[in-house]
Amino acid sequence: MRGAEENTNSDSSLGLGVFLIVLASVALVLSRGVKVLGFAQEGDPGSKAFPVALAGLLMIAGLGEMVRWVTAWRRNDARGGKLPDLKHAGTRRLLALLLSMGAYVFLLGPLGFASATLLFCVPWMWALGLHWRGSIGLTVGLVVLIEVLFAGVFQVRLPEGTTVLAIDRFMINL
Amino acid sequence: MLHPGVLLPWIAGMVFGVFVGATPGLTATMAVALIVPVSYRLDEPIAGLAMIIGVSFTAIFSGDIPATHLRIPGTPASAAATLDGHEMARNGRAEFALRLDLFCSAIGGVVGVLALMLVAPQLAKFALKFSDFEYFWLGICGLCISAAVSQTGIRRGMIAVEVGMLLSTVGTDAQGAVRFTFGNMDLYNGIELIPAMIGLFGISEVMRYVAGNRQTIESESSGRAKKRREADKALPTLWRHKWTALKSALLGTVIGALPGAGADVAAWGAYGVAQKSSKNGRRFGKGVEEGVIAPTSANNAAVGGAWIPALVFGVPGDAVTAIVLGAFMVYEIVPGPQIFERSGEQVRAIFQIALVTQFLLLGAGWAGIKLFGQILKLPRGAVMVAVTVFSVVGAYAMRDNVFDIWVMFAFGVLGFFLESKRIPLAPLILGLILGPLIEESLRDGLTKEGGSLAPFFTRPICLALILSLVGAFAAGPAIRKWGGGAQRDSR
Repeated sequence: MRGAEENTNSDSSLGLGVFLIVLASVALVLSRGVKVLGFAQEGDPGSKAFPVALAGLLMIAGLGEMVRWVTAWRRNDARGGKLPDLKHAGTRRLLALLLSMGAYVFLLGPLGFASATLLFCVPWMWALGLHWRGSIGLTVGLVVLIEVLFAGVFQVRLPEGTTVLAIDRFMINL
Repeated sequence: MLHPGVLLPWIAGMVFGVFVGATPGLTATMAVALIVPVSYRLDEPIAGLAMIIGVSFTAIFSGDIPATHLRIPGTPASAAATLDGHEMARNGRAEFALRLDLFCSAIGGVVGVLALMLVAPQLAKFALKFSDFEYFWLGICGLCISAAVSQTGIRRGMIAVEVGMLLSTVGTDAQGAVRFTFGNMDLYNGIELIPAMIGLFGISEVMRYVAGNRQTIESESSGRAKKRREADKALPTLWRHKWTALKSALLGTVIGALPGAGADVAAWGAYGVAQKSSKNGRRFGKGVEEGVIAPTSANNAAVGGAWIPALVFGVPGDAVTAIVLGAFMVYEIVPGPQIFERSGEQVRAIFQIALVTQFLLLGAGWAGIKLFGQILKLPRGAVMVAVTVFSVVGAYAMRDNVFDIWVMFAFGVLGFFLESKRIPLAPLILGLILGPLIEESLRDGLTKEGGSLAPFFTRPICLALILSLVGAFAAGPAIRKWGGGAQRDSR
């Protein structure tokens, strides 16, 4: 339906417009603190000019998106710019993914690659449809593959985990 | 070059490219972004180069495999191959279609690389006439072409470009001013490109999978076994349509060489031209051989074509080439007009590797066609989780720095958000890469001329580039309409 399409377009414009305006505003504010080293050369517009110009263009683009949204909203007499529906399963899964990925990256330091990866992968593989045994098996296989390939063959120092190292040292000192 | 220390990683890279390219949802860009950190760890630089080059060609071809079987292009460059390839699969001719595809991809790749070998050195001599003023407009042209041909429209393409360019200002500029680092030492050299790309193309795809409909991937191919005799007719069929293959490969090379265009634009362009010039034009989209030959020749040819402006000017033709270019620079192969003088031996090695890769592609692609059935059996969720872990390791492996993983994560969220608003990512990547070139060229040019903008608008090459910019904006809607029209006509 045409109205539905325009409503979808107005949803897109609002979120995008807000994002662009916020991004441009942050860039403009932070640009004020940019310090130039030494004396500026004649003709050089300076280190602030380029980001400020880009921020200005993004601000215009963002305002343009907002105008498009208002126009579509008035035409459709419908509310645009819905916030993500937290009752929607996909939105909840996405939020869960973002939080768990953040936790995974955070835990790489204390727990190390193998433990953090097990904690992240097993629940997610299970949540995405695998049997729990398959999840554990595949995750262990994945960790072993990466350890062999990256740490063994390519000499990448994967995070070892400060907690694991501390426990190791403690055990050695016992 | 044929030493096991080089050959094994080369083939391993191609196998990886087949796996990633053939898995729906995983892209050629992702394949290259993930393999780059691995390639740096090899003892021989040439082995690393071979790995990267092997992946970039193989992933483009192998995206045609799920396009044919499942009507799901493995990479954007394979979208045009979906139309007739899948119809042939539905009629039990999948293996014939894929063999035809494989030979065309190899031919396209050879044409693209030969064009690169012949044209690039000549273009380098011409490029010596380029100064800051020309580089400024060249960078702007590349970005604008990329925005103009994006499928979601010029407006959204330009937004992507501007966001990418703004992000490129993070870090220390050429005059030593520190911008937008929030006091974080890890940002002083700017945003690391590889983790950003892994996030944009890898993590955002995982997020889309988790948030979206989890459709079961089932083959729509006919259950009837394909006859070996029909599949063996791929070469004679290709010979019958040899001029279509050659024409498409040349067109693909030219389009690929346009800064900002890429293999997907090349594939659609070739499909549209083949449809309009064929006497079977009305049957395109219903399983016509030319409908497979044209786009598959063009998309692999575009890879070689894209390296022409990339090596000579440092202006990549698409996101895949952008990553490859970044990787080359770590190997101290600095793009520019003097690349042939400064890194002549390495450039010659790149040319040779690229050419030999087309022949190795026949073997790797053949294996990919046979093994695709196994890939289909892997649960999609498990693949996505594995992609996440590989992305984390790939981002970390660049500098053994956890901060790069956070960068990857942030760009993954950014990529997911922008694509949900139909903002294309390829122009954003190009903005991230070309932003510093454009800013430095502008500032250096203004400094040389005491602040005057006149040389930017009066030098002959600058005027030519400005005209091509206008042409790109005019032609962009036509190219989009062309590709969209070819798609509509075939339904």
